[in-house]
Amino acid sequence: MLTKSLQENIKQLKKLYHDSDDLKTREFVSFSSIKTAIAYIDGSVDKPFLISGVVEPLQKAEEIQKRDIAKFAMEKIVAYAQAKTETDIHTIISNMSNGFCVVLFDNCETAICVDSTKWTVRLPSEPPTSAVINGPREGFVEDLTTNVSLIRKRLKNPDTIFEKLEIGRYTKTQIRLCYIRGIVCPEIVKKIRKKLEAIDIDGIVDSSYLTAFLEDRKHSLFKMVGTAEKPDIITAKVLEGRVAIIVDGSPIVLTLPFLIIEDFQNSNDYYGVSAKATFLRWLRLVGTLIAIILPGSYVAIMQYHYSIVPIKLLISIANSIQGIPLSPFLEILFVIFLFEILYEASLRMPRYLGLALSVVGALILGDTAVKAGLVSPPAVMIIALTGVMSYTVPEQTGQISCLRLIFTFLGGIFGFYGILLGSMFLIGYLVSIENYGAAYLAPLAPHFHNDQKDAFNKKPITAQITRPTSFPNVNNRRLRK
Amino acid sequence: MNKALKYKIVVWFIIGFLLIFLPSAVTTPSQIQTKSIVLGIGIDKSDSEMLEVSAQIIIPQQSTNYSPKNLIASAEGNSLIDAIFNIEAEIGQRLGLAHCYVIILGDEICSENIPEILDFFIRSNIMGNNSSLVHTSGKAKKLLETSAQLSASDVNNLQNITKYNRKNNIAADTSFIDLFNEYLSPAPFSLVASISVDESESSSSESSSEGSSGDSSSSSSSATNSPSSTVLKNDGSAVVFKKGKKLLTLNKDQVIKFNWLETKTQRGLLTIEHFTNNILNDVNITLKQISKSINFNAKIVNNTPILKLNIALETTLDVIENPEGDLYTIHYNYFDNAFRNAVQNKVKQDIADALSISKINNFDIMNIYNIFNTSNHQEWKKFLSTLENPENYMERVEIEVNTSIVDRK
Amino acid sequence: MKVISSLQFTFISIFLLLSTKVFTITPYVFGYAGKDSIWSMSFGALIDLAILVLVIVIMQKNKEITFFELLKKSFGTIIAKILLCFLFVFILLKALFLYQETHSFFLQILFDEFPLLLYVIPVLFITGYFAVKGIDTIARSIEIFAIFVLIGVIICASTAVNDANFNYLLPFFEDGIGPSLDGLWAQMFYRGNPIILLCFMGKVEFKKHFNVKFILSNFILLLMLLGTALLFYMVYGPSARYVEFALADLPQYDPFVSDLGRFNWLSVVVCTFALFLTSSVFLYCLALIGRWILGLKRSIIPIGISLTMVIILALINQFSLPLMMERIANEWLWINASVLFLYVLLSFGLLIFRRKNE
Repeated sequence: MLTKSLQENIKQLKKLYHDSDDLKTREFVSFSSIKTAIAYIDGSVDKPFLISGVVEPLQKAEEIQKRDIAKFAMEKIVAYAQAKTETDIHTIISNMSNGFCVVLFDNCETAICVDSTKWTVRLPSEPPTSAVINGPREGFVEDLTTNVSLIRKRLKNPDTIFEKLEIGRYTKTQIRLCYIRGIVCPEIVKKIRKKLEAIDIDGIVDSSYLTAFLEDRKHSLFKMVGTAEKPDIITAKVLEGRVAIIVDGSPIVLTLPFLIIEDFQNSNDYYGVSAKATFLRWLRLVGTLIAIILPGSYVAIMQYHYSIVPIKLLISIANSIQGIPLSPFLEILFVIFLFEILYEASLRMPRYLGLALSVVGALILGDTAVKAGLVSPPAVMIIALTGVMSYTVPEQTGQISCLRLIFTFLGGIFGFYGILLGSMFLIGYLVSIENYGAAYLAPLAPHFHNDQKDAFNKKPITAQITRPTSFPNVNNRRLRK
Repeated sequence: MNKALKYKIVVWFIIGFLLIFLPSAVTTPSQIQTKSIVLGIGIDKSDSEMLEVSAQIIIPQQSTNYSPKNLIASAEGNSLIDAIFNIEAEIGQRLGLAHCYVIILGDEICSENIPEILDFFIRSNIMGNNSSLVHTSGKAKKLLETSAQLSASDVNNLQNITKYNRKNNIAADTSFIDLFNEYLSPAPFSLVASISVDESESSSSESSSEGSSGDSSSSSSSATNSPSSTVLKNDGSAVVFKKGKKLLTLNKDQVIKFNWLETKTQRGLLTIEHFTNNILNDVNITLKQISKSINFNAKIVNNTPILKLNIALETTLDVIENPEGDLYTIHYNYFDNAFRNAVQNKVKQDIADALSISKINNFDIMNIYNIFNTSNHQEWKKFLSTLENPENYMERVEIEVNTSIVDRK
Repeated sequence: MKVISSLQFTFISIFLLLSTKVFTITPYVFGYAGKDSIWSMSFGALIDLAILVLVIVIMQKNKEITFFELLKKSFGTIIAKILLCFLFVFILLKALFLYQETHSFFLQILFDEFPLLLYVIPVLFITGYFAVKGIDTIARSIEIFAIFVLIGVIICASTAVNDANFNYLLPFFEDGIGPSLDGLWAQMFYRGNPIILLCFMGKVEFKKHFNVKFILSNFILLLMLLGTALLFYMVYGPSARYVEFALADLPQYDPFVSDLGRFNWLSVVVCTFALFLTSSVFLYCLALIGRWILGLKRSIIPIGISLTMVIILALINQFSLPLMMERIANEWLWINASVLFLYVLLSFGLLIFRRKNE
């Protein structure tokens, strides 16, 4: 609790912040005679506005005889949109951590907390992995308020709810659950809220920290929580009956329930011709399947089943693998290793070196390795092709890389038999996943006829009369004719 | 047992299982290094009365061109698989027969029961069932060697020829499955195309082979220094097999006559010689056959099988030799009733010749048995039971032909 | 109680019908019926269809209870368990046959050598995994793979259309109807799979017009399988008896098709998905029946018992398909035909019994 002594309160604040350098205090006189101080965290407040909206009005205020000086000052003097009185020191600390400044008065146990937040944030820009030809280009940023406003701008209905949560003992990260009452299934919201409230952790640095807590299956290779970086995508998902989780400090917004088909959908699909969207979705699916299975199939065919290959192609391949010292299995693993190293290094390289590294990697490593007889051209071509294909679905790149490796092992050990059994096991595993009442492979399996309109055979928006039935919602009508 | 422990056990079991078999994946070389690619098989009778099997093997070489190097490896054996094992021992690799497109039968071996020799291939899956069957008048190994000298870029190569024969149905039974089907049927007669090696003419085609069959690692394959003028001869002749053994060889003209009853043979030439009508005098007219349809009507009258054929032909004019007069008028007016009758007579004569050859040599590659058996089963059985030797049914068969012809200008 | 949708149930029945009809049955029947094999296959298909109709009628009339509960209500617990034992044996022999057929298939078509352990452990693991996960997982997996399997069958068959020769089938009934009846009797081991659908009683969510759609779908599938068999006989003719795996050898026939590669790898895909998923269905049903007989709640023990029995029987047969085919032609044919006959009578009995109760 605050005391009546101004100095005591300031001391208390400094003690609680362990004399941290970024805690700033400034003492002045308000109402002509009352000793006053403001305290704030440097870098989190709008200083010019603090001066003009808080300090100056207080300094210029005439002397008054009031008991509750803080309340009077808040109501009559402080020209700021959001301000409240507080007496509890811990609440004051919490507010200060969120960018509020505190006005303390001598002989007064009440302080004013003024929302003068101004964090250094970047402007909304187009996210690199969600580029569109037509359509909005705004993307989320690291500031929660901005992100919420980007969604609120699009969902103006008062049934759109932003539920507040705070997680992290040290980070005290602000979280918002966004959903539409009357569409979302309340059980899903309840389950998410329960899981989030049960988190007792030191800090949440990014939204990805929360995914581990929200997933039903902890050790799965596949993600169970959807992500998006654009407000139009989140708006569309929330309108379908999902819950969006916005985390302060992260431009990635989470959505639940998640179906794997979402990663094959791109916002471009909704802003262009449906037929083209259908074609592109099938292309993504085929690209993903090829990216996963092709290296393993190549190994299987070369080691066990060359009779499958047509004769002319077989002779070309046979000619090109002459003199290669490694078995096809090791060869493919080596090339995968090369490409993964290249990829990882290119992420870490400074931008101006990245291009040079690409040239080095692609031309020198690839070409020279072939000329040196370490690897064969078909192996390089296959891994390069699968590498490119894995980016048709950027959200699944990590999974595709892992699966590619697993299938290479299966192909090398068991041949085509292993590839087929691996595919069966993979599908069996995927169909058995359910999270938040939704089957992971819906609407493919189980088959929801209604949802096929937005699966791989995209229909125009005019045909999508009902919301998806792949996961629960309470109002399934979205288009009224 | 809690879920986490179960999960761990399953994961470690899978990892352990994979690790146990991982060394085999690491050390297994490319199958091309342990199993050779065989394009063709030749079967001959060796001097020691054993089977001599030759295999045309592709040798991969580091090259950016599609220019396969070939090796002919051969070995003897008591049976097909015995000979194949011996070849494998000679070359140090297994034979991969999945891409084998042709089986060549040397002339001498055709006196044996071929289906019994090839029986292994049909029961196993080591070779595709679509391999073409070809007869050669000399040694099968010689044909293989000649074929090996010709590169894939040469038009006159064995693969092209066998495909051509198959597509145009030059001889009815062009795959070894067909041979088996005929062998197992009640009328076990087959017609197999014959391809031979022609060394007489100096050919203008270059044998631009990238490999020579002299590179053989097999001790029993001879180094061949074939002259560059050697070509393959696909003159349309064929061999008749009866119960899996060679009966006789038919030349191209004879095969053409037999093909009149083959519904699948759609292409061909029809020459009317010494034709005279209002506008033409003693000329030879050749027509190109575009399509043909045959309507069979099989009856047994007075214990005589009579096969009535209605053949509908579509043709177009190929050439009229030494015509006199305005060519334009001739080309548009040559096709009159007299010409139609001439065509009818020609077709009748051809079929009669074919029937005569069949009767003399007692074989049935015109499918007479099947035609009568499927359309008049009871009567046919009755007819066969009246014969002293049911295999000599061809003696009594008569064929009546009616041809209708349409000219496509 | 987990529920599968009517679409999933239809696909399961399609897989049950398809799994034993695409590979060894066609040449096997040819050995008995010769040219009239297509008639034997047609009669067999009619039997399958009739059993299917019977099963679906019983299931529709008893939507809310399981098969075990129905048998208990009708005959008492002991007789119910005895009847289930027969069904257990029926399914076990079929499961074993599928495992063996697949092993021989891979050995013949794909591999030069195929160590037994390398085959057995993964396949038992995968099918066991599916059986443990439950009917939901199996049904959804079948939903995904069904369309690829059906397209694969059609493509494999259609590659041989050009070479089909109808005369190989003529004349019909050359030696009377005897051979076709011989062929029909010989294939009784392969037939009767729809009986297994009784295990799903009480677990299916029936929709409107389900009966018509279900029967029509299965009828079309049977026609498709008959078409495949017909093509096979028309292409291979008298040599059909020599061929071991019909669907794998159909695409092999045309040399122009094989220029594009060996299309029989498509049949490998069909085989793996269809046969292994059907094996999972069989294993699941064995586990379910095991639970009913032994009164257990969890499936893991009956699955373990079933897999052990499969391995033992396979070892007895020395993992040899020809040996198994011989047994199929003799003892197993009688066992399965008897169980099939018993269950057909039982089904009629249940219908009449229910009618009397009503």
